[in-house]
Amino acid sequence: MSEENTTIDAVAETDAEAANRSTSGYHMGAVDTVISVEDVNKQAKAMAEVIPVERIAELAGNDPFLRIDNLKAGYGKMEILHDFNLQVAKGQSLCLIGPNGAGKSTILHSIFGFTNIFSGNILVGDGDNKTDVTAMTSSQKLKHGGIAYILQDKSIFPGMTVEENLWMGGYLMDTPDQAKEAAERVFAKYDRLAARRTHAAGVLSGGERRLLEISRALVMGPEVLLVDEPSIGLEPRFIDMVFEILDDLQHAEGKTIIMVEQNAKKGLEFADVGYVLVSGELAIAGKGDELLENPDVGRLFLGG
Amino acid sequence: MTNIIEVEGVSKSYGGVVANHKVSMEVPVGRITGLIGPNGSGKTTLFNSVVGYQPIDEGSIKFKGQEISKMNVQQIARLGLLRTFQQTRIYGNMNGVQNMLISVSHRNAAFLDMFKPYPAEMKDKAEHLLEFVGLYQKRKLSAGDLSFGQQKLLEFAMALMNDPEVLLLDEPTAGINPTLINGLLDRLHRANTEFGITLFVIEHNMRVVMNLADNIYCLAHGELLAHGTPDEIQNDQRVIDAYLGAH
Amino acid sequence: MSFSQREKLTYAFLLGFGILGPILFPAYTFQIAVLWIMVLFAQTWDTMGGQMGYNSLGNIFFFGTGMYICAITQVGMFYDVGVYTAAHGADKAVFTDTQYYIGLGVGLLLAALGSAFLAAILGWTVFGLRGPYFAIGTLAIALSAGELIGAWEWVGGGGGIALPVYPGSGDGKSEFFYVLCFASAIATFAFLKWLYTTRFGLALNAIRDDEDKAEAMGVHTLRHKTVAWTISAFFLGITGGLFGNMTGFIEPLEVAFPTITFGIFMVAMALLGGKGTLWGPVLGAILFHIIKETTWTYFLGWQWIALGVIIIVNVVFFQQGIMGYLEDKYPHWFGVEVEESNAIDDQAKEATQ
Repeated sequence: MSEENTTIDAVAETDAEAANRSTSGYHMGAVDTVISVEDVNKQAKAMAEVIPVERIAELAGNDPFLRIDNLKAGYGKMEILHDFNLQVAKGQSLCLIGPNGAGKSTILHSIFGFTNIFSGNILVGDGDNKTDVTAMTSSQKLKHGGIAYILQDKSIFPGMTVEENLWMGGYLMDTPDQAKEAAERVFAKYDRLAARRTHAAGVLSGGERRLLEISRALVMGPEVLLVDEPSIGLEPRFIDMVFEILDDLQHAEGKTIIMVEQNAKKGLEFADVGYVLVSGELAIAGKGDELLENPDVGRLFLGG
Repeated sequence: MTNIIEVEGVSKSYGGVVANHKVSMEVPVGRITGLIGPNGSGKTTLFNSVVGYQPIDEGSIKFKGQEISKMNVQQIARLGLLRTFQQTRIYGNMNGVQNMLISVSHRNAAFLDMFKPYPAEMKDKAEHLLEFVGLYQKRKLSAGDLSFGQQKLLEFAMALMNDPEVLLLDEPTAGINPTLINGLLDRLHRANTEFGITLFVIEHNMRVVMNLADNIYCLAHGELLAHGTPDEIQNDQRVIDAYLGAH
Repeated sequence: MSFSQREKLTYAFLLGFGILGPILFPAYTFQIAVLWIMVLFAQTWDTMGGQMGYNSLGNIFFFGTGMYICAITQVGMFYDVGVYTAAHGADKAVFTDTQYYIGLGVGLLLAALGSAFLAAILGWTVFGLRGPYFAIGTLAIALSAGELIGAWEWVGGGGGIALPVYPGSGDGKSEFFYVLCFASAIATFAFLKWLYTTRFGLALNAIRDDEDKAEAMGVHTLRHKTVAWTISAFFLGITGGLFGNMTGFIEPLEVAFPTITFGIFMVAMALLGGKGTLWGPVLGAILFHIIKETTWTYFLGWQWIALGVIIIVNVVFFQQGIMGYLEDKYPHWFGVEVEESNAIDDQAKEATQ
């Protein structure tokens, strides 16, 4: 009797697993919810809460490690972010979602120093002793600010080997030997990469390439990781792998992660906190799973 | 049903790396065909070969029965076979409207057409397509200043502007917001059903592929691995092992 | 002040300057005529380099061919060219007034058409090259032309050709050619202004921004590139014909195909003013010429250094040139939009209100 039950349970489990498979790689689902970009913006504006800074602080446990205060930033003369605020606690992960052109990457770019900052501050550090990193150059941010940026586009050096790529990650270190030592620590952590250390980076598979990009950013020992579209262009079987890597970095190594992810369902599943950005402003903020369950968020930003 | 593109035994290598090895496939006219496979399996190389971006080492490629493997890119494009790029290419120093206007088909362009201004209907069509992808308000801004996702949308709109017979789309939804993806797919379906544009799409987003394509080819290591309907492919163990991932 | 008002003001100013210049400063008529020659150089170069992205270092070739074709026509219509050139100006050939003007008219026409034709032919060979290869390929054409013509006795070889003498006073000649130069510069400007509003102009910009993309979209790139060069060559041919007559004596390396001076100046002027803009080359040519003439007059010996410094500063720090800089900093002056415009619905609402 119990054996039969077990068999039925086993079957039931594999069905659930099958359903799970379809939700994890790239969420299976319908594509029926068709809303024009205009309408999305209008509806988002209509439902956007004016989010008080207290709410943002609360999501960061009232103890932010990185905070952005009233940022106005953009490219050239164009202002993309208008009075933007962000707070993320140490060892927390935050996912930015929203329509294309909303300014998600601009936030990461601003933190790292790739944009024109018209006004506002970016502060990093524990408690009250925060460093104002707003005006630092990108190199300073990587070397002293403890902030690393992982690009959205293919950014490995294809002609160099895997180890050379990692050494380049430590370019800002005082001596090449220090860079090599740091690289060895990274290899010790990821043996998949170590196995390919002398191969040209250009022949790595998509997942390995992403792993290399992420681990290269770790060489300088940053506290904060800015990850721009971790799963973009990745084949389904590597998407989970990338999020597992990031999960490990957050929970086992205590890194603070701010990411932009258009695979929004995956991103919100992963992250502790989610911000929905529309037209350069914060429209909705909340815990990752709460946003996932919010039907309006689902309809407007997650494809239904 | 006839096949608008016939690829037969096509091989291509560069620098000692075999990118495609004796690949054969058919794209049926008026339908939507998907092409999936791991990165490095030769998908973009195959697209490049079809549109004449590079010569092939062996094999044949036919478009509407005509051999095109020795033709150059412009000639093939003017036959009505258009492609979008994985790395998204638009004209960075021109604004949105200009990008759209220059994308108008050059198929029947007589010599003196070069010097005429664009008629109002074309400007209207350009503006409506821009509005569809949500770029109407930014249409006068320099295209190079648009975000990555917006440039991708612009490229897509430019392809539609050209009224091609076949559109080869290389990862058209990578980096695009999921809700907008729905809209794009809707528009692709309509382009396919109302205007009869045949689509051949490389994609990693399974939600897109399964809801879009009626038949799918899977490449791996430069060779054809599997071919079938979305259901067949999804459940094909070889495809799961090589690409989808067990879970 | 709106964009069109600003534009009209600029036209008025330049027209005024062009007309009043030689009247108020008759001693400088020749220099101002050369100013318009420089404007012609910069404009025709910019069609290739600025609008189309093909940096030609050999455009001076068409200047030279125009000059020679014009000279040969002016002489050849009435005398045997070989005999004329062999004499090296020892026998002063006589041209009646009518002969002079007809010769000049036909000469300029053939100079334009001949240069254009050469561009069309050469285009087939040279447009397979891109970027730096194109630059060097065109430079090679211009350099070899100078040498080849220099070895061709029929056109005077290294000795060159003395042009028919202008039937009139020295001042009269200056004024006459001044008018022709000014008119040519205006005609070229007007033509290019129109050209850049057509599909052709858009295609040129597309080729500049991403030629592979243009090809992938079916643009007839070779056709457009060759026609662009033909147009440049047409106006350069006229420029050459005029300048040859203004100097009175042409010689292959120094006058007709001066690759190092005029050949490079045309690039520097367009860059200084702002390549790829309509007014950039004009502005750049005017500034460049004024600086050159001033340093030549007052700081002789330093003019080459001054010009070199301008080129270096331009290329290293100031790539977008003056117009590019202004368009960036004050886009509203030029009617270029930086802010988003209203949605279609909003515009419709505004229209009905």
